Amino acid sequence: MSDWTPDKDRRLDAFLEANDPEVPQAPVGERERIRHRLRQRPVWVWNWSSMGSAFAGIAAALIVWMALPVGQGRVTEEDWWDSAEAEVLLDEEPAREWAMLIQSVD
Amino acid sequence: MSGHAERSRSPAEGADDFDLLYARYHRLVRSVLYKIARPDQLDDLVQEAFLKIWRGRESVTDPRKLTSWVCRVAVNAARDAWRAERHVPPPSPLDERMPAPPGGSPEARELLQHGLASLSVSHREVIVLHCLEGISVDEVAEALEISAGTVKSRLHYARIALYEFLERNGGIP
Repeated sequence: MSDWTPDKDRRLDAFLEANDPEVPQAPVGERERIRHRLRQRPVWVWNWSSMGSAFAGIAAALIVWMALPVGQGRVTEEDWWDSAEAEVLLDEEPAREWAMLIQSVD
Repeated sequence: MSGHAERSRSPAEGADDFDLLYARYHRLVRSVLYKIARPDQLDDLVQEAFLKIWRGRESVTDPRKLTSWVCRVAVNAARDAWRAERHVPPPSPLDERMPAPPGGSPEARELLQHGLASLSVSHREVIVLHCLEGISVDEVAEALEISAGTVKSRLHYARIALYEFLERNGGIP
């Protein structure tokens, strides 16, 4: 490798230039065949890999939903009264009015 | 408004349609694929490459990078085919005592094909793109997503390997 010389460089270039492989002609109608394939709608291939991805996505969405904090997802009336939203509301309302309201409900 | 609309078009889309893109690049794509992939895969790979070129044309925003991008798609089409078959095409067997072919003859061209096939894929890619297709080092770097320095390094070792193959088989006296 150390004896690589400019002369070898030139000889290789000359060989490559003289003997660049002849590329076979494109088959007749190649462009139209590609056009035809471009017009076709892509086919989604159903396979085990894509099924696995779909199930994993559904499972992840379910886990996220289950982990949702109260007030953003699974809300019961009791849960809501413990929520941050209720706390804000409670803090903002005058205590006297709340007392009256609670009494009226009772 | 029309000027803005014109600027927003990709360079591959600008000249109208698929026919222009095909007319401009089918020789390059076919030539690159013929020299780096298996000949029996050529027609399929050209089709695959053009499907990807057409569908991905809007990703090219700089007209100066269109040629290198087209080369990248072609090279990737060949790589995808190798991956699908889970192997790289082996070098073609060649009789070590083959007589020296005259320059420009079919035999010499065949010898060069064997020589290209004897190279590693990474060496073959740089030889084909730079030495045979005349793509600049910087464009080859963009096409293969490697640095220009790496292209030069690969070219150096690829040229040595190809020269030694050709010398060993009588292509270069």
